[in-house]
Amino acid sequence: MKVTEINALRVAEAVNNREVSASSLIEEVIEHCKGLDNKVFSCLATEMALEQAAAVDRKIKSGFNLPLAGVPLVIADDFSFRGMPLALASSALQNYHPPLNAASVEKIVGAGAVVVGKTAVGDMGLDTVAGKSEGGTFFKELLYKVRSGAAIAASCGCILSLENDSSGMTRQSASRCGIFSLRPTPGRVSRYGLNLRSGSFDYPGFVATHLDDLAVLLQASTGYDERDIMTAVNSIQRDKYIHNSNPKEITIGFCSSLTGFLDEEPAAAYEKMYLHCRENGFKTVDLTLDILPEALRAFYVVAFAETSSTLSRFDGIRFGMAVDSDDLEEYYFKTRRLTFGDEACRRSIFGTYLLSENSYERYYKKAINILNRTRQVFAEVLDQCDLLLFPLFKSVSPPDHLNFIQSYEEDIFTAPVNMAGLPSLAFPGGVQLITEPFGEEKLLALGEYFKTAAEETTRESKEGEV
Amino acid sequence: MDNHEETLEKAINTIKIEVGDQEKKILHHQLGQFLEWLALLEEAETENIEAQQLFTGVEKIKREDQPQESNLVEIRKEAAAFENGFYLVPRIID
Repeated sequence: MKVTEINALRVAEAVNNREVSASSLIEEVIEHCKGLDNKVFSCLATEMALEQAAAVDRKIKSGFNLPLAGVPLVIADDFSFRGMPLALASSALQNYHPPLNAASVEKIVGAGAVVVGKTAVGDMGLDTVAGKSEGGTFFKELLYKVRSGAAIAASCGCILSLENDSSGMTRQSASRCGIFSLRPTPGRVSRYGLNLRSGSFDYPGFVATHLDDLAVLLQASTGYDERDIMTAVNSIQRDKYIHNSNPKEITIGFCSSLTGFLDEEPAAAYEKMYLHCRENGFKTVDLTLDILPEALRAFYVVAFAETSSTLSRFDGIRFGMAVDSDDLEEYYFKTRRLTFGDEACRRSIFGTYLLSENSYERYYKKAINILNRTRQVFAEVLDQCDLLLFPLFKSVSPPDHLNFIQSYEEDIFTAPVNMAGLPSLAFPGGVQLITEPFGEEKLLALGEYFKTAAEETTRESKEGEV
Repeated sequence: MDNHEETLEKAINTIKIEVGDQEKKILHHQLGQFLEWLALLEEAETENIEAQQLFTGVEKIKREDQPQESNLVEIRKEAAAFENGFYLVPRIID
């Protein structure tokens, strides 16, 4: 059994049945990771992972059955995990070793998964690409093709990964890599231990090569956590949606007007998914959502404002690189210049600008109103359908990252969804399914119908490239 | 100095990031592009919009607002150096 070619459920089954040990599987995965481009990972947890795997083996021997026994898990470098540094591709966190475990990661590890490494993130963990810091250059060298280390790692045989899906970049990247990603409803999974830049939008996103694995990941990580006030006690179950739901009773919303925004290939994929719904007997309804351009801008105003406040905590005193200066003002100015990359500087300065007396009413307050309006609009749209079929990105080729506005524009179909607090399931080929809050089970169950069509679209597109 | 430039200068000083003259010019240009991009917000109708809850029907637990006993041993583990009840950090000014 080659662990890098199978799914998490099969790995767990084999380990639980003692067909193979978690230790030998993890050893194989670590060797595999070492062979990958070393810029994908910020660090590999070789010894720690083998210790974790041995602990899983001991549990299995003593009669436990773990849903993710021996399954390799990769976490992005914005999750805290004891024993592994957290650097956020910035010297502002140099030598920082978090003293705690992110709640989501801890729960997944409790279900038997083994953390094999951390994937690199952009400058200060910000979605977009820029930066003079060493880690930030990782994306530049990755041909700008995929903006997420977690998506690359999962698609290259690491099976499962976790990443902060703030603006939807994780879902877009997973889709570009031909795999699946889920962003649960805010409140479903604890954010404790996720290093936040924009508190309103940052949220763990799951990436997996197989759709079924996302369901296990969600089940393992969901639930109330007293350390995160946002988590819900009662996660609402949508029992009526099961794998054999009758498509004739389910309405899929489609926004035909959005195809005008898309390049040829994503437009064709979106239409193909729509036709697939029709062929499978789903009821369909054409809907209009014209708030996206405003919502995207509002998202970035709020994100910039929050990021400027968050990043102002970094001062190089307890950890991180710092300049030597006798003057306190000079110390702050120079230390921040030294440790912040271009994107972190831009967001800090522009965010402060947007919160200034002159701009607050004009931009920030307006953005908050649009945020509320976006939630309202999505709720009205979801009243008319069970699931909303939505594109993920405008073009298959990512934007030119030298132009920061263009890279923000790429989030037009994902950032407003995150802003509205809706769960979203991303498929290969550039489409996502959205539903009302806490409807993840519905997404995952009905997602089975769309899986094949999405995979076919990706295959055809790859054959086209050949 | 135009209004944007002045506010930008204030923002740079508030957030305390050293920015050279050349970088300042670039930032000023980028801010212009960004504000132009945000112009759509100014046109959007935002009167009488009610605040929306992120989601409804979800039970939340509220902890009692009472101090809890802290575990000094655990707290010390978080510090790079700890002495006489204080965190020790690198000296910045003499």
